Amino acid sequence: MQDDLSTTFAALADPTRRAILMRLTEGPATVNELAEPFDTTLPTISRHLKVLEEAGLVIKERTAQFRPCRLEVAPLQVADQWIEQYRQFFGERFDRLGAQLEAMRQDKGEDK
Amino acid sequence: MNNPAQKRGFTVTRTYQVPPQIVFAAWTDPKQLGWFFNPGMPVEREPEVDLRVGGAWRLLMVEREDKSYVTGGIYREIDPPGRLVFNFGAVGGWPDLSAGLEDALLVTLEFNAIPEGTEMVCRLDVPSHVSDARAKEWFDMGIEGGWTQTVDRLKLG
Repeated sequence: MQDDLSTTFAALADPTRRAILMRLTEGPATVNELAEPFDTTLPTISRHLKVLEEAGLVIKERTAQFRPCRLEVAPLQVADQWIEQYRQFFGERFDRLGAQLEAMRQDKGEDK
Repeated sequence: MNNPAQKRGFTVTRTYQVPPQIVFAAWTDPKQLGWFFNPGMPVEREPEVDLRVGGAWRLLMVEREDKSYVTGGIYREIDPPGRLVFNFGAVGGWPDLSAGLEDALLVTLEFNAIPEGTEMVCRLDVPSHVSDARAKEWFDMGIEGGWTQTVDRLKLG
């Protein structure tokens, strides 16, 4: 498994971080706004944001005054595509498995 | 210890009008693995099947004259006719299992007898270095399609 995907999956493997990402799908936010729904401290939220930044999932706009954190979807698309390729790969094969089994069944003269 | 039943991949279910042992044979008899190749793909080498735990099944996939790779699996559980589990890939192939099986995709097949014949349930599990509880929550959030919808929402927004 690629290292980038491991980083993405590890970043997603925490409920607080996933909640942060979901909030960011509604639009950019400040660190304080992101921390607001949680019972944890601001340093803890900052630590989570750092993990998300390192995974490339959150971009901190240093120059924007009021909305410094935003979501970057590219790593999620990579993760989606990575899993999707296997789904397609096996899906196609299972179609052909069905055709092969059906041909075998008809060869045997079974009538269903 | 990770519980392999926790969902962190995807599940595909198919119904076939033959008994489970026939479907099981289609997966494990080297002479019946033709369905695994792409349509029109030349079979330059007969599939190899070493049907034992730790053994490998290997197919040479020839996509073009200059592009071929070995795929297949390394068996983890063999319980005919109802259950077959393997790590997907091949040593030196695609996906490459040279680094070992711990980070490898796991395919779990159930061949369930139903009135119509066989219900084949195929689950593919993502590598298990993420703990069960966190992975479960991640999938509850909707890795299957959910993130795609999230991405689509963002494109519109």
